[in-house]
Amino acid sequence: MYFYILPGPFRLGFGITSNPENRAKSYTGAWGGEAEFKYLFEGPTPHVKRLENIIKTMHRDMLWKLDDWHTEWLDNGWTAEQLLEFVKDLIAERHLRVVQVK
Amino acid sequence: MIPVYEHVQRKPNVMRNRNPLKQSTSKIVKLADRIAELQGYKEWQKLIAEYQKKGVRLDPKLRPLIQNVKLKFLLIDEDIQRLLDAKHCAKDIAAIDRFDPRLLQVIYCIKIPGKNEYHAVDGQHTATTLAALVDAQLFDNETDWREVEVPVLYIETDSKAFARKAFALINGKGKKKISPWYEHRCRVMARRIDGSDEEEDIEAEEKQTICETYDCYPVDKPSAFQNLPGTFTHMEALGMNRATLEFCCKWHNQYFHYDPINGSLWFMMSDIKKEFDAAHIKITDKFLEELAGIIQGYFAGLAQYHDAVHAAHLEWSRKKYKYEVPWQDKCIAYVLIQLYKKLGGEQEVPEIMLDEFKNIMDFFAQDIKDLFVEAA
Repeated sequence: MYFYILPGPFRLGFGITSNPENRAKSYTGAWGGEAEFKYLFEGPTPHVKRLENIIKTMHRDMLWKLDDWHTEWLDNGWTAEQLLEFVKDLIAERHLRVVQVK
Repeated sequence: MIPVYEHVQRKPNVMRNRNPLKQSTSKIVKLADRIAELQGYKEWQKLIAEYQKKGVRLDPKLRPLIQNVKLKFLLIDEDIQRLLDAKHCAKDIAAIDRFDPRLLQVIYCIKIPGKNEYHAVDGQHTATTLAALVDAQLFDNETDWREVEVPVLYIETDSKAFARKAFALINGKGKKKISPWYEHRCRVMARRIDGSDEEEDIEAEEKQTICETYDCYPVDKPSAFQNLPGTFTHMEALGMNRATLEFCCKWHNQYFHYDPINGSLWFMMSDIKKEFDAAHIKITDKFLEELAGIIQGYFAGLAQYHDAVHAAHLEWSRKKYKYEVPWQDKCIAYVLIQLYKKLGGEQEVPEIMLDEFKNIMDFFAQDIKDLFVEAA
């Protein structure tokens, strides 16, 4: 399973996927422009899901909210590098078995 | 091999100061403060702007009126109200150890214009119970229930359709339901602020104290506190006995203080305690740390372990029995114990926990099983 960081046309995004290539293509199809994951992490499903879940629940105030829906786009003005450092810290702090592959 | 539990740096739990059940003195807020709070809410501001845009004007005469009405003037439309629940009257409203006339509720009615008739849309059980208690000569100086007056909140209309909607509204979404957390809060506050010596208030407060001792905090759902470390919304946990509750909270706080409490904690740890106690097997600190090591090392926490066991149970039942066997909560504890033994755990465990859900671990997702192989 993979965790990705994706600079979007309006905001910085993140998410998980078992197939990064296909997921990137679906963003490309939706945007009408090429989407490329800037940073990619890999690990066992529970660890990758936990990483995503920590951001989506325990740090939900960072997320862009559409009505009552907390999206997978940040709304705190962070760059991809800032999110990268945040994710690296979480991995180290929580001993998650997730490694950066890109 | 069992993964070694890795220490996670403990940070001060923010709930220690933000816990809404912390206060031990009452706090009075003026209505004006509440209004200001509402007026600061964006959705409210949008709503008022919409009212103004549409030029909506409201008639103050349409607000409900209140009056003391003799019970003999109350009527119940069976096609609007539910049938009488006599058990509810006997076992709940008038229960001898609970009935308090001061807690009788106002009756909601529709008044037919020009007639002294009040059609109850909510409160028929209160009115019926009160009348029957008077009829049983239990109230001093009152013998005829027909002449007893009750407070009635009413609106005047001859529209039955309106009465029907009013009934649905009062008994449905129009009323903000009291959540289990709020009920618990009332009991804890009754003890902490008012010094209540009622048994259920004392018990609720003691259980709250157990939770707080281990930085575990019941919170309402939804609330701003949800998903903070140590918080939980699974209020059924407070139905456990004190020793089991403490066992669960202590384990969470020792090893997973950095996470909110996943509901599976209560099932898993209480089943482990129950089975070990029944088999007269002592639970050691080393064993508890080993369990935490498995949960942390292979599943990154209880939430993902819970998900993984659910998924494995589904696959296991489809393959083994050719249909989806209904989920059993004890599976969470049993599978953990089986995993513990598979990984070489040396602590004696109750045999019964190894007998059910056989081979279920074969149905964990492959990338989880790869971790087991890697560790072997």
